[in-house]
Amino acid sequence: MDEERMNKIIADHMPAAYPVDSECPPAEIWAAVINHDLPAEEHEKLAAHSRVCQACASEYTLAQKFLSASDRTDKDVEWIVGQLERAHRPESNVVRFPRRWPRYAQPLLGVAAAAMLVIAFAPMLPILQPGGVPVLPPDTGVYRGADVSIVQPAGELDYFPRQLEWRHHPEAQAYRLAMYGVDGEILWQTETSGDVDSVGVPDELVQRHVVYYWQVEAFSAQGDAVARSRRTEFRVSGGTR
Amino acid sequence: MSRYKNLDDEALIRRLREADPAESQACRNELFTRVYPRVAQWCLRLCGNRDDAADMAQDVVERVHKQLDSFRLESRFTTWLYTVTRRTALNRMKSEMRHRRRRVDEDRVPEPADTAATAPELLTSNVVGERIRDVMKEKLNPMEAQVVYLHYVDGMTLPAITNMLGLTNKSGSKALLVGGMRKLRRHLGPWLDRQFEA
Repeated sequence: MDEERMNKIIADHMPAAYPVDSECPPAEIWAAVINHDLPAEEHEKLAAHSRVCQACASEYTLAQKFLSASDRTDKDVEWIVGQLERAHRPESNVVRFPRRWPRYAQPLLGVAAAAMLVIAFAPMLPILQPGGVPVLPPDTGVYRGADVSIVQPAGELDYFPRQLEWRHHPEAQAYRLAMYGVDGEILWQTETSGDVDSVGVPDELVQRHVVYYWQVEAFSAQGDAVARSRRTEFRVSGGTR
Repeated sequence: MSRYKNLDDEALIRRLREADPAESQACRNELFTRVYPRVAQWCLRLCGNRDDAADMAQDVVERVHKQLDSFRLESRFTTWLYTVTRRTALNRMKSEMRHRRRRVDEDRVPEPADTAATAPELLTSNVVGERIRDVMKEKLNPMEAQVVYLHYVDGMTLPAITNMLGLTNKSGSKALLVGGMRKLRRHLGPWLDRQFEA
């Protein structure tokens, strides 16, 4: 039998090699062992087992890494925590932050997004200020300075909003705006530059009786995030287009 | 600084359940400020990059929110939290693995198997599994065995295992996996020939 086929057979049958014996507890029990949540006798028995059972030793390690997590010092951990904090809305418990597409779809999405941006923004090119919109970084979750204040739309509306309006932030040279559904999915996103405090809302984007959220982020000329607004909710309950 | 900082997790959850809505929400917020870094750090170790880790952590946090009422205060909160985190995170990894289906040539080490199997396959699998287990016990060193289990049973990727175990050697967990598989092939080869080539 060739090596590759043998590898495959071993890999395919490996899940049947666990648990190693009847002494192996469910994998999640190891946190209880480390936390001393079990009666002393049980604790001793399992701790001894983890020293001789290779599979359980690996599960013990996983649990140990979880329970010994240190304070937030790593910048990537900080970034993830920032994402989680912003996704967590006290009033509704959880609103998911926008998910990324699967990695295999990203190149195609990139091409599609680029094409859509060209189509959408080509007519606006002449009115952009010299230098255009600075290259805005992905959301860093880190902002300095005050919030950006929302003017409208907000709350229950008896009209269809034609614009998103906010108070200009003194340090801002560009803004990124996004409108979200209740599940946190981005429904529409745009960027604008200069001393502006509003952008138009595409026709037909807003539907009656549907809850939307929107948010504006301010960026400096260097593309640094300087402030952002609260994610603001609105719903159209009356009026005509 | 939160006025609940001095409460331990379990006391905080008791308060969360007994207090009026406003205080309850404040307690919940404090609890989750403790949950986020722990979950984020573990997911980052598991995924190796912050984007995937953020998605995974988001899944975990959602699950914790939904299931918090089911925590019966019979253990430390972190014990319960680990159970939810591990299950959600590893299920997600396995599910992604199934979706990828793309074989990665890691020195001819195959991807972990999709565990769905028919009854006859399960019978064969148990026999082969027992044999693999015996050889692993006798021939593999503890680190090799840990890496093999984490990769093929838990479905963790090699970079994730390297991170999780804090391996600092140049090729990380890959060298241990390749070494372990080599030993398994050497000691199981003739037996596998008889079982599968007949």
